[in-house]
Amino acid sequence: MEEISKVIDYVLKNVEMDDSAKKLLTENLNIKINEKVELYSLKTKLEILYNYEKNYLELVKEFKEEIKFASSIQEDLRKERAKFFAETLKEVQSTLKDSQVDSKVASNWVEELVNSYTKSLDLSGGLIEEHTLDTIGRLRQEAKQEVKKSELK
Amino acid sequence: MNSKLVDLLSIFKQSREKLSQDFLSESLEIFEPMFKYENDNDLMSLSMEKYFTGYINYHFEVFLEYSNIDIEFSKAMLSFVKTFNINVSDSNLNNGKELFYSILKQKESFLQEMITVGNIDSDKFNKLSYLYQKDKTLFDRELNSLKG
Repeated sequence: MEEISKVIDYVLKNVEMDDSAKKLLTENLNIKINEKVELYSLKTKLEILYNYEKNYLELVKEFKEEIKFASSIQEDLRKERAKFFAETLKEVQSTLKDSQVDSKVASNWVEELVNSYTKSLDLSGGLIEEHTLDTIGRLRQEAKQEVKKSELK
Repeated sequence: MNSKLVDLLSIFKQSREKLSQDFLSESLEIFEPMFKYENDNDLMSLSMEKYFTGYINYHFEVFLEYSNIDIEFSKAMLSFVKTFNINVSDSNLNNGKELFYSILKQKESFLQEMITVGNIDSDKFNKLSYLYQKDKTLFDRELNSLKG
């Protein structure tokens, strides 16, 4: 803003005109030029934002299948865990009871079954999480690169 | 990437299915010792350990149906085995799958031997305790020798 005022003053320095008229002209020029500069700067920023959003949407589209895949395997595992505790375990306990296995013995074996089953589910959950984080990491990385590209345009 | 993860998850899922199926179908491996050693905690514990060692081994059998996931499977199995309090150092088992499997298989056989000894020996407690300790030490020693 100051820079523009200085330039206007410099240009009008040798122009012969009434001081008050010169002052008015300077102020008007200042306002008009600043409006143009601000508009240009806003347009540039909006353009960067638009390109970013556009690229981001394209990336999301590109990663759509990955996102669907991660969500579907997580859902499968969640369902399996729920089914195990809600159904399978009850069926196992009923089988043990029907076979007249001693209750203390049955409880020890069931405890170890739950333990082993849960460890396997947890490990699978960890593998899925690792994969999901990896996908998010790749998505972020590509998004960053796209932003850099649009800033350079 | 996705297909490798699907294969890996499938190995663990198939093994879990076997686990619950064994209980539901009254597998002899589970139900026989439940009655046979109802009043013998030591042999019952050994039978349980043998069965669940067999469950860990089963993952390797399922793994044979898949290809191109050697490294991922080895890493996952190493983490899995560790959750069972089996003392494995951060070994590089990528090239030692067969050895790893054979060690677990040996452990399973050893547990069977101990159960057999327990069935016939009158002074079985001391002998079982000694054999158990020896097995644990040898097992840990062999697994740790797999260090890359």
